Amino acid sequence: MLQKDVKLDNTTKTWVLKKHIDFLQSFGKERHQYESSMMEFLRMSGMYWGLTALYLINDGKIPKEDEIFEYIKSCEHSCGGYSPAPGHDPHLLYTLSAVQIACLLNRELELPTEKIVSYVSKLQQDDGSFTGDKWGEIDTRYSFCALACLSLLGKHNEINLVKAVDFIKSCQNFDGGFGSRPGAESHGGLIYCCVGSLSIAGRLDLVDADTLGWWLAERQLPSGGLNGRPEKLPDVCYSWWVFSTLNILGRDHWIDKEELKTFILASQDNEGGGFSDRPGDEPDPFHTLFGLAALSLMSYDNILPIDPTYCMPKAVINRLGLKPQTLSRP
Amino acid sequence: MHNRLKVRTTEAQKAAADREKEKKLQLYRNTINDVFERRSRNEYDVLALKSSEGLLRSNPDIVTIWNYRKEILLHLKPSEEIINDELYLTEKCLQVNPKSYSAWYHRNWLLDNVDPSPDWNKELQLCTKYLKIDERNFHCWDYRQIVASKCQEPNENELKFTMEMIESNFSNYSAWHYRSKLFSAAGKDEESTKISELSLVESAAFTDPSDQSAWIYQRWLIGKLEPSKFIYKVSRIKNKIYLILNRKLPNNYKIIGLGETNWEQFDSKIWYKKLDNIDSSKIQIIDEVNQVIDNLSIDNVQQNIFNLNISEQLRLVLNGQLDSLHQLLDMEPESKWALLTYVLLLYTLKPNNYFKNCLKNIKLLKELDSKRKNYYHDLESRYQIEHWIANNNNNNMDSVNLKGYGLTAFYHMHMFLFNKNIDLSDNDLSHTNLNHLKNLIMCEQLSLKNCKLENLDNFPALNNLEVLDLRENKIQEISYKELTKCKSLKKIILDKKQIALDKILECINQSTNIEIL
Ligand SMILES: [Zn+2]
Repeated sequence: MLQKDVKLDNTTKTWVLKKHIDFLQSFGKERHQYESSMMEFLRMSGMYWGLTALYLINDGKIPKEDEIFEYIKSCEHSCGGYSPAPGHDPHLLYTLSAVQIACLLNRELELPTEKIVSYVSKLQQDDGSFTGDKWGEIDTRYSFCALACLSLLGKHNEINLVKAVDFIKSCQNFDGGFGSRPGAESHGGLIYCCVGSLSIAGRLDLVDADTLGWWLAERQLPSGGLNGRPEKLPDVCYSWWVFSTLNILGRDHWIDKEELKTFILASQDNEGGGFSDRPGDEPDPFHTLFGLAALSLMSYDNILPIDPTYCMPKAVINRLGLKPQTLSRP
Repeated sequence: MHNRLKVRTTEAQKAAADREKEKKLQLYRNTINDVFERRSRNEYDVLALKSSEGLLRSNPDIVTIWNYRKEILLHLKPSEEIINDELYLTEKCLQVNPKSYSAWYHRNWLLDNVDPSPDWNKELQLCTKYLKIDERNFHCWDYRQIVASKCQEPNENELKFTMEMIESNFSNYSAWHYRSKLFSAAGKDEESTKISELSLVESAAFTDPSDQSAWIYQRWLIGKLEPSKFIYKVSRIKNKIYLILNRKLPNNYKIIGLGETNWEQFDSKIWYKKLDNIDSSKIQIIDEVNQVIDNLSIDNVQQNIFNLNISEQLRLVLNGQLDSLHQLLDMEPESKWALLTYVLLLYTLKPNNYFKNCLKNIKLLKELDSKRKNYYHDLESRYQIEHWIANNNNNNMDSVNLKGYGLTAFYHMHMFLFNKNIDLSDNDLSHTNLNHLKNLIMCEQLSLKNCKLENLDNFPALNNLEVLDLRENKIQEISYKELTKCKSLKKIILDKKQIALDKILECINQSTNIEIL
């Protein structure tokens, strides 16, 4: 069987910082109107990706702060949840994004904390899991959303943390990884959500760091890129999900960082800026954030430091007084 | 956002594409506005359902539109025909995006909440059909588990299904994963299951040695073997009894013996209690049904602490695998997965000369699989330390000599809790976390000579430490401050190359001397 991977050119691509800034700043403008409208159903998260990415490479500066905060307010619902865009329904995914953006803007105190806490805690089920909204879909992604969102507001003791941790533990698999629900297959993105939740809860002792760390290290392919599951193609977003988890577990030296950098840099769009899922594809803010965030964890260029648990600038996490748990190297 | 190839276009092509986009955008806006308006007018009828179908077919991820449909369906008390149409719509949407969380969930929700007589068996067939087309779709595998439990499909049948999938393509990690879950749930006879799985996995791995799915599964099967012993050492220090374990105790296990008071945890692998009315000198670990799992008396050391619990029958099978791996490696000496599994099996079975053989092959792995060379370094460090402990654990030894073992990581440092003289010199500890030394609480003399140290960050407060050898490192002067935590430290040994001695003196306690050798 041929291994699934991509082939890179032999030359390392140049780092086009200025173009990335232009690319990120152009969102919301004419140039991306079509994409932006068609992606309206996740716009709040789109803004979090774009603004966090911009913060990291633009000296922590975010343009049009008031306009952005107004937008968050326009997505606020009386239940305490946030929708991706006006007219859409509130959901835990976009509630987290809204809180993250407010923290980036240093305006989280202006949010209706009590209402948000009430919205999030009502979504917790008897088994400790969380549904994404009132329609009942359960997923460990939502556990992470709940824990991250409330801890950013300093309120993570308002949910049943013990049960939340128990549920995550029940999603652990033979390979040390985690899936979306008990029984579900391990997957790089869901592993990040589960390990991230345990990091916030201070319960990384529940992770078998050597077993999981090795499985994650095996995600690195000959191209240097990381995939999210065995025998899958590499993708820049897994540079974040997989690499940040390795970092949290104190085992990021188990892969070749130089080769990972080369793969991420190869996924830049050297004409218009931005990063795509893999070399040669269309760039988007999602992969631009996760590419830059992974480069930040490897201290590339002058990208500002990122927190591996929250995927937010370290300076913001420090300002909020948060200390998510990490493990040390063996 | 995924798999969209960037294509070069001419100006004319771009203009045409822009016009096309503009048309699509207009259509999208008109439709979604129409749907939202209907919703705001509380329209819960078949027409309203029809109005959003096209929108979802081209973009199945708009959750709010699915939510509106849920509201309508709850309101309508729909006929069988409407329910079937709705199921058909989700199928169509999944053809557009097989990874659409919201389309998968809508289907599940519909059968759970609206359909009065959901046909879960039909769902199971649908999952089978989809998985034959897209064999690694984890949404479908996850949904299949929900469906299988709804229609109470026997585990045997699901195991048979995973077998079919694996036989058509060994490289189906999702199917291997599902097998691991089905076995755990069945609580079947572990031993016979393990033996039959090992032979299945062997044929898969040998068919295509470069495919990792079966190898990972095999590593799990081997890794599930655990040492029979828990307790490494029990010893008395002043008025306390310390108990050192080789791994964390399972949740419902208990430690008993030596009086009524409870054992307290120093960390997960070190337990202690104050000496009081000793009723016996025996300490026992018991499981949830009070069966004794392990026991030891005070001032004793357990031999063979790392030996695994393997039955004769299983040993036979594993030895057979070791032989076949040997043959495979003769034919394909560069097969990384075969080599790694060979090392793991050697270490598990510990035949004659196994250790030398392990080290030789780990060295090969570092070269063959250089991306993960640091993983192999750390694995080797663990093996080296375990080997040293297994071969040097007699009672009266105060010294630990791990000089020059090429260690890059600390494993089992807690097992050196009682040792007074510890030599870790000539290793590469440049990237390790010195905090791992925190369990060396009885240590009086410690050598970290020539360990490539650049700083002393996180050096723990070792209250009994008197002499610390730091020769042949390049440690920043300022980081000597860390050593002020060690209250009994009398002497730091440095070499002549160490300049800026005065700066170091400023950083350390006055009671500590520096000796230059
Ligand atoms: Zn991606």
